[in-house]
Amino acid sequence: MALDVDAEAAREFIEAAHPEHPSLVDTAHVLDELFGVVNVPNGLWIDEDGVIVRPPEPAHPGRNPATEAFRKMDVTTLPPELADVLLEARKIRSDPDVYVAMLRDWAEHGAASRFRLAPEEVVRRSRPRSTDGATAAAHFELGQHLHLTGDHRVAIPHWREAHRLDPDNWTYRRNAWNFEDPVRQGHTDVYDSSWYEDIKKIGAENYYPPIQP
Amino acid sequence: MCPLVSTRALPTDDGRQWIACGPGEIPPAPQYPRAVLLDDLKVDPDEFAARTGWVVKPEGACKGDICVPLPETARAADGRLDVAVLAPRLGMPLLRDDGAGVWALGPETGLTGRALTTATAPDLTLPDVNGAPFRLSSLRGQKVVMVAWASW
Repeated sequence: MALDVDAEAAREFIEAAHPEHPSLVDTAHVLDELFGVVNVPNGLWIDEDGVIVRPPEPAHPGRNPATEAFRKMDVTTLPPELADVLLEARKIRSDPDVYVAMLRDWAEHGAASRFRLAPEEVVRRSRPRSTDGATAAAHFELGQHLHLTGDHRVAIPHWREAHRLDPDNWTYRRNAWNFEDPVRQGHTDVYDSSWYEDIKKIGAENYYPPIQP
Repeated sequence: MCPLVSTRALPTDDGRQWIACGPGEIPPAPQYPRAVLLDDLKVDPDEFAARTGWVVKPEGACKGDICVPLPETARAADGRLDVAVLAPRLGMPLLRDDGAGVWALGPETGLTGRALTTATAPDLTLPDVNGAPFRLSSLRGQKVVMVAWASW
């Protein structure tokens, strides 16, 4: 599910992948509201009876192509400001091997898999939701509606509020930043922050929480 | 059916009647809670129920076994509901874009204080890249891994 306000932005990736599974577009980021997704890639598991058996968590498919690319890039060829971003990005940690191993175990063992969580644990592990978080979701949905109905400019104040009220939600921030500075999501005069500024605050090694099997 | 998977003590002084599930009980699965966009704060009760899961009954606004008492002003003479009256009582933020004349009614704060109030998956419907809707429940009977990704 592509968390893209602009569905066409997701099209080239979907068509390149030629998926045999359903590949959908979530313009309003409802996965954030319904399940507690705050970053990508995130995965959640649902069993044959429609019960969630693992809530959202970082879900890299056996490898993390982004961090692989970061490590291959020659930092000495970059301007200083981009070199700083790259050096920070290289600190991002993920557990792709762990996630795939858990997934294979569940595929094989189903309800007997030790990675399948009980309902109470699924709820307990899901993201806390506050009134501010709910209000942020309303602002983000309103913003994406206004953007999609033709006026990107009037979406911005709502997305700014969504960022302020839910500062831990990366999907709200990164999708908004990307409209102003594609790919790099650097600082502009539209928003108060950028990917590099925010990731430096927490340390890129904390960008994804470690998986709790 | 019970709406809440919890053994936690629930507040008793906020005017609402909370009823928790017992261990192992699974509540019904709606697509909510998520934000709802409105162009009019007076809404048809059936539409409100379909989009939020809250059904207005004589005892109040009810979702599962939870009922929140409502004042008489919650319902207009024509039978429509006044969202401005309902929203604060249901814990749903209500905000407006004055320029566009559109309101957004935010999801209620989860009964567990978590994004998930139940492990039962909502019956989500989302479009594919060509706009054709796909319903999550159509995959019932299979294991499903939902992966959130993005072009950005």
